Amino acid sequence: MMTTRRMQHMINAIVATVLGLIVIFPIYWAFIASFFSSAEFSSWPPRLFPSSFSFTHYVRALTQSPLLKFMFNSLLVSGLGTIVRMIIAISAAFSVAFFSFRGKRILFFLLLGTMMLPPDALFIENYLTVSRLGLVDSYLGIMSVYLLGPVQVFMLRQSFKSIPKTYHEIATMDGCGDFRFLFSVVLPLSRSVVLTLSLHSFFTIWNTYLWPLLVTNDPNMRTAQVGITMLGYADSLDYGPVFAAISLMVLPSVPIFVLMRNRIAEGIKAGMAVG
Amino acid sequence: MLKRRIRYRVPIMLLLLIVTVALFGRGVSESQNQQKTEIEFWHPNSGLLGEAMTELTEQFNQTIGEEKQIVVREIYQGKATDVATKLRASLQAQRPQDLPDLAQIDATGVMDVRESDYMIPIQNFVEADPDFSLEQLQPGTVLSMTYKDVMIGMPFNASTILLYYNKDAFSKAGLDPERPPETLAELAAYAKKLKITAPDGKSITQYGFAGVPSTYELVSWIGQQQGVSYITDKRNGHDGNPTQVVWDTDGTLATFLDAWRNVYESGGLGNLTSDVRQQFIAGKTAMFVISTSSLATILDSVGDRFTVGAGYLPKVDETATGGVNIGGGAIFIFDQKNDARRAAAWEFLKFLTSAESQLLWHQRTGYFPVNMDTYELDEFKQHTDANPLFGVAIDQLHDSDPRIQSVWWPNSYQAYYDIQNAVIEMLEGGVSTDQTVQSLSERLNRYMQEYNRMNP
Repeated sequence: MMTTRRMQHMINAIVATVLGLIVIFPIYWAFIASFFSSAEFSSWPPRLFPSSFSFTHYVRALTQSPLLKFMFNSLLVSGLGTIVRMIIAISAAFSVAFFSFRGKRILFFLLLGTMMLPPDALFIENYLTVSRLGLVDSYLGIMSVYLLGPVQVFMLRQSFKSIPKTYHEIATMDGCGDFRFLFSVVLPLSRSVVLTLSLHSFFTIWNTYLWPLLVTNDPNMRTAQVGITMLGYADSLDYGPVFAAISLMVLPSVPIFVLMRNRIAEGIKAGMAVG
Repeated sequence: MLKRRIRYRVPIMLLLLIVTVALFGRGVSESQNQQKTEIEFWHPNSGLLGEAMTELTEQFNQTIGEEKQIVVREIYQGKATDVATKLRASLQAQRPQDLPDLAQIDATGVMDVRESDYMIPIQNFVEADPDFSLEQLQPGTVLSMTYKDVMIGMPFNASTILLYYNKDAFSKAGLDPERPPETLAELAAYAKKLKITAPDGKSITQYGFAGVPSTYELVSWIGQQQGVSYITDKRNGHDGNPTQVVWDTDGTLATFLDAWRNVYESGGLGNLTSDVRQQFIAGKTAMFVISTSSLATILDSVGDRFTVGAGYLPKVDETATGGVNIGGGAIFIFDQKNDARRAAAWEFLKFLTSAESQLLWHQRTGYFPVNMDTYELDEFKQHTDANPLFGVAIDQLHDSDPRIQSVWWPNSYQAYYDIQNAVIEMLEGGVSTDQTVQSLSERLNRYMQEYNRMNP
């Protein structure tokens, strides 16, 4: 009895370790490679550890491109973009989950329909709009396409639906307004989902490359992902500064995931529960 | 209750404040002098290339720019394809105010700008400027940017394909390290000798030659046959939109594929589609072909582990004497409906293609000088004497027929992989040459027909 359970436990642990290694290896290697000397990059077999730790690549990465300014831009766009996106998504999801009104289904399906369109197909069209609004080279221009997130609306609606409707009725009867109900009951109950979606949204915006490049011409408005490409070029084998920049870029996300991994796992599970 | 409400209010107000300020905030751009003509130049040069570009622009701003009251702002706009995407967006939006004064793009981007009314052909500037003569430009580079007999772009970063080989591996295999293969038949014989199999008899530790031909190799390997040949009609799309391939009726593709199959049957060919350069540097293949613009980085990465040799691209057969085509990129001028800016853009272009600028660009990046006068400079001669492999690359360029052209066709990205896949299928799947020619031609013809139907 005991042995089968222990066996199961061990198999789980082994599978988890293997999967973990597969996920962690590229990150580990990017970090380690940022300390390689130029010769170590092209050595065969590939090295798993640098012969010495020097920060020359980091210095070059930070001097060859205004990386810190770019990271600030990325932080601003991802942070604000996520906040506005979540405010809109929470309001939208709240209304579809708890109210009934004319055209609710149509609106909701229209919203979900936008998930079917690949964003690449809309690039030029979106650029046209942003450009006509005079928002080229502005933070709002970069953020504009991220402000409405159908995925977030959908996931939040699923989560809000798991809260019994009777809560809403009882709260209303006791004189609790809708906003208070949202802030005091719904959001505290959906904390994990909101948190996970916010983080996910933050990192997706942080990782985008082509759109921020398309709507900015001013080098001061560039984001971090564009900054990375400035450090290398197609014929280059000078990977050091690129890996140094990648390591810097990953740095902020590591502590967040370490601190919040339980909540994130909870959030992912919660979103799937209700159909 | 009251306390609770206040606790929320402050952060929310703060948040709203930050949101409104940041949303409408714009990056602070450098202060500009009112009297000066400021022009914008978009380019895809990053890393070492980016540094060289910045240096050239600063040189201009401090000398000619100072004198003529011109300020050039050079802006890195991502990879060459990203620059093209950005241009396409502005062109399709019909918003010339979003266009730069100058933009550097490669062959795939040419498709997007060549018919545009906002693009001013370089020929117009050349004809209006008595101080500038086309004679001073390398003839192949001029033809590489000629569309319907009009020179549309100014060649800037020119390169060709080149054979790289490992001299130490040649010596070990009993081959003369100073004599690279000259034809594909020789390449096959060399590859066979250069192949090294692991002691277990199965895995190969060193290929003789590695790589799978794509559009890039074929423009030369097709182009050099029968005097000069083309992949498609309308001279590879330089006389208008191509409608179909001609390599099937010309028989040029079949000739190449037969020669290539012979290389494969030698046993020394590795069908690697990516990282071939790394494999060469690591000593896993003795020969491969890549752009001359990689020469500097390859020499740098190999270091003293082995001696690198460079040779002409091996000919398809003895009769294929045309040589190689010129690839790379060019700079285009866009109309800002402003005479001062137009003149400033031309002034900057003349500076970029001057003998001295091209020397600096060549020394830093390995691209060919497009200006013939550069080749006469003492400093240039010293540079090629010190780096003889650059000399091989340049001799090959001058020995080539300038009429061999890169191909301007739709779906170039898919076509690149379609060609590679067809070659691999032929070699590894035992498909016959005729069948490969037929199916590949049909597929590529379909791309052109669809494009022409949509863009009448």
